[in-house]
Formats: sequence, structure tokens, C-alpha cells
Amino acid sequence: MRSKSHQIQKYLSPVLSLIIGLVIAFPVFYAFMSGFKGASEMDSYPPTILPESFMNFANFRQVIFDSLVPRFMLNSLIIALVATIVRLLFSTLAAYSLAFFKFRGQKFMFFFILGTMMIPPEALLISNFLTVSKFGLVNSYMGVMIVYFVSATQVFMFRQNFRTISTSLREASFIDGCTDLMFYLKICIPVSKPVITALGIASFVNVWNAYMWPLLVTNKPKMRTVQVGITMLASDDPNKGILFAGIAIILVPSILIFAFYQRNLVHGISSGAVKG
Amino acid sequence: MKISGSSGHKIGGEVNIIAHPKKRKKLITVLKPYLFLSPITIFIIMFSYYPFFKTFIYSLLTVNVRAEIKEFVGLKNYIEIFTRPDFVKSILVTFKFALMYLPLAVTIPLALALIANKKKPFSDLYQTLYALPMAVSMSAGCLIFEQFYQRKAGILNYMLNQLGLMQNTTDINWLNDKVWALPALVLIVVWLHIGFNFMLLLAAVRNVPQELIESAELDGAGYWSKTLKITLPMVSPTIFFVICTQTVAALTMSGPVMILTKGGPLNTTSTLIYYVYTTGFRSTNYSLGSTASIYAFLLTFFFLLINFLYEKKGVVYE
Repeated sequence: MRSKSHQIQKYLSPVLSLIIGLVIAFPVFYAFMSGFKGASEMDSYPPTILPESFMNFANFRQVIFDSLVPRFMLNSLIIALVATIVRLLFSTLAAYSLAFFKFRGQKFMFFFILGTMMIPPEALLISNFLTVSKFGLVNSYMGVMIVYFVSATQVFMFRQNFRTISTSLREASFIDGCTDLMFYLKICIPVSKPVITALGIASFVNVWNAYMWPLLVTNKPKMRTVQVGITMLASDDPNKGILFAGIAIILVPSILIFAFYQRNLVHGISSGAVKG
Repeated sequence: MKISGSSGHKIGGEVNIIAHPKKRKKLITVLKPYLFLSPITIFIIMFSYYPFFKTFIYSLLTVNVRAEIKEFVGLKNYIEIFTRPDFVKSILVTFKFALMYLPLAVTIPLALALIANKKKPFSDLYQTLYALPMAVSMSAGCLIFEQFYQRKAGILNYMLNQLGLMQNTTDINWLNDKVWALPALVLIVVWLHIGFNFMLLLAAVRNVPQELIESAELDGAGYWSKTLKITLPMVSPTIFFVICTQTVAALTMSGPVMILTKGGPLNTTSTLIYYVYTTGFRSTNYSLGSTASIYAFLLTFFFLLINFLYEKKGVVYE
């Protein structure tokens, strides 16, 4: 009984597993193929998967040279990059304080920060929108990124990570005249490079993929982020081929990041880094 | 608040701080932990706790279009909102979505993690394929699936027809169908979340100590009994984490609704957060929008609480 099922598993399961994988990945494959299709191909019956010609770059050319998609990507790049850097800076500083100092209200501050995880950001949309518009930040990069500066998860992860740095090392370096700021910059940050990379990438992807908030705080087409902009592209042009060329183009950065870091992510996740 | 309070306490004990360099140094040592915490604290107050309390306050008031306060009405909004059929419907839709979504969103990635656990031929390849949806943003994913759901040129109807499950290829207009629009959205959101949860669960499954599995094998345990008695209990903390995050994801789902259905047809896909968006921003009814936001918060809070109560029974920690 056991050896029989083992036999079946040995030959059948890799093939079956692969087929399941192809089904799951199919929408991505489909999006890239459809970028090459003309308008009539997108509406044809029966529906096609592969394009008639892979040499049909007209859609891609139009998206790159004749639409706002490159601008959307630039907006998203700036917003995701700056938000991620600020977020990493704030969380590492806070984590340093929580990991190395003994002070009054330490426990309170820890739970004060973690408590933000209990509030779903969707429930804060109205109030945050009113705040941001009061500051005159509607249609600005700052207005979009300002709500992403805090990540309680990151604080928690970095605190765990900094705690692995021995306190005797810190004490010894302080005798040699090292200050907290130097210790933070010269020891903690370099030592945490893998965690910073993992959380930084997760955070970049999160902000890059955000939809609801950027939609609310931007209404000028030029200030839209990719995720919002691409849905505008859908309503602007009846030619679905162009839409899919746009989708393919905006998928490229996140798929590249995914391809490079997929392995590290499994490792990062299993060693405790959960999300950005 | 806390910062000045506790440092003030310390300073109170010492006079002439500024005169003595040694004591000034001490003051800096006392303040330093708070200085490191201050940037994040400012933003937490401004964009988490302040808006949260403001939302709560707004829900107790009537507020005009320019967000100016009219009058204090107490819990009236909380009761009155239930007389709005749109709101009641949005709660029902949210529950319906969660009921369909949660079982799929947990079991599919778990099954995939169990499949990909053992190294086999091609396993690197299909592991990557299972995780791939992770790289796709919500809006891109929605637009791709919208094409699949097309009535005439959509792949889904074509396939169902070819398989003999549908007589007429244009039988279902997925995203515009009272019955099918919500399940169609469930499928999209499940797909969007497969990748990340798969990776989480895969990491957990791979962390199960090999000795445990081997000793069970010596006792003659087959694949299923090994999985049920060892692997699943060992990864139950991660499964619990996935259930929690997916509960929140389900109860706050709104993006695909905004992009694909706008709540329709006939409000059958108008979720709670979508209701917040339409009342708060489209009709600029800030007090009702805020009341609905607080209900959304309470709902997620309540269900997380239930999860945590159940955790004591179902989750095994080493």
C-alpha cells in the first residue's frame, strides 16, 4: 500500500504539481501575451492566448511614448522609495531605543507602537484624508507617502534583530568612546543588512502596490501612481491590447524584484521576518 | 505626553542642570531613549491614533460637507445607520464575501505548501509558479481577471462551454450578475493572496523537524497520518497567523469592488469599506462614513478576538 502510493507520487505528482503551477501563473503569462495583441484579437471568439505576432510592438510603443504610464511609474518609484527609506529609518531608530535602553514608559511605548496594528488603515481613510488636505498635500508626493512612514511590524522585527547583538559588545565599545548614534550606524545597521533588505523590499512592494489611498489623495492625472493610473488607462482606451501592454510594463519591476528575492524571502520569512 | 512627563520627573529632582556639564550629560542620557522614539511617535499620533479618535468623535456628531461640526448626537448615528438599507446590505455582503473567501484563502496555499514541501524534479520551478501571484498588484490582477470574465471574449465562459458545463457561451456575465459577481471577486482576491501565504506556509512546513517525521515513519505512519498528526499541528501557529491576516483582508476588502463592479449590480458587491468610501467621499457624509468606519474597526476587532480565543484550543506551540 505504502510503496504503491510512493510509486504514484514519484511519477505523477511532479507533473501534476507543475500543471497546478501553470494554472496559477496563467494570468501573468496571459497579461504578457496580450500586450502583443491588436484590438480585434482581444475581442475575438474563441478567445486566444498567444498573439498572432510577437513582433507587434505598437501597443508597447504607444504606452511608453504616448501615454502617462512612464510618469505614473516615476511617481510610484519616488513615493515607494522615499516612503521605504523613511520607514526603515524610523523603525530602526525606534527599535534601537526599545532594544538597548532601559527607560520609564518603555513597555508603554512598545505597546503604543504595536497597537497601531489593531487599527485597519481602511477605517482611517476619511480622517487621514481631511488631515492631508488641511496641510494642502493633496496631489503631492508627500500627501501620498506620509501615511506610510510608520510600520509597527518593522519596529517589532528590528527590535528582535537588535536584541541578538550582545550588550557586552555595546558596553565594551562605549568604554572606547563610542556613542549611541555611532553604535547604531556602525554596528546595528550593517549587522541587520539581511533584515533591512527583506523588510525594505516588502515595504517597497507594498507601497508600490497601494491603491485606495493614492486614489483618494490624487486627482490630477500627472500625480497618479501606477496602480491608480493603470485603471484609468482601462477606461481611456477601448483598445484592450494597449491596456495589457501597460499591465505588462508595470508588472516588470515587481516581477524582477520577485525573481531576485524569492529564495531570500523564504529564508527571511522562516527566520521571522513576516511582512513589511 | 509620556516623554515630557517622565523626563520632567527626573529633572525635578536636580537643580542647576545647565550649570554643570556633567549633569547636562545626564539629562541627555535620560532623554536619549525618547529622542530615538520621537520621529515614529509623531507620525503614529498624527496618522493612527489621532485619526482614529477623530473618526470616533465624528461618528458622535453631525458634520457638514466642509467637515464643520454641527451638533453632538451621541450614539444616534450608530442606531440610525441601520435604517439605511445600503449599510445593512454592505454588512451582509462583507460577511458573505468572508464566508466564501476564508476557507479558500487558507486551504489553497496550505495544500500548495504541502505539495511543494519535498524536493522533487521541477520542484524549484513549481514553487516559483505558486508564489508568482505575489508579484502582481491588486489593480493589475483585477484588470487581467476582468478580461477572463468577459461575457463574449472571456476565457472562463469559453472553457465552461467547452467542458460542457455551460450550454450557451454567454450564459453568465460574471461581473454584472447578481449571483456571480461576488464569487467572481472572491476568486480574484484568493488568487492575489495565494503567493504570500504559500511562501509563509512553505517556510513553516519546511521547518518541521525531520526527526519527528522519521520517527513517525518508523512507526509505520503513511503520508496522510504524518501530515495530519505531525505536520499540521507543527505549522498551526502559522496557519493561525494566516487565518488572522486573511480575516482582516476579507472584512476590509474594497479595492476590487472599486475597480471592477462599483458595488453593483444592485449593491450585491458593495462591501463595508466600499460603503465607507461612497458615503464618506462621494456623498461627503463624514459622520455616517465615520460611523461605518468604526463599525468596520469593531468588526475586525471582534473577529480577531474570536480567532485569539480559539487559538488556545487549536494551536500547538512547541
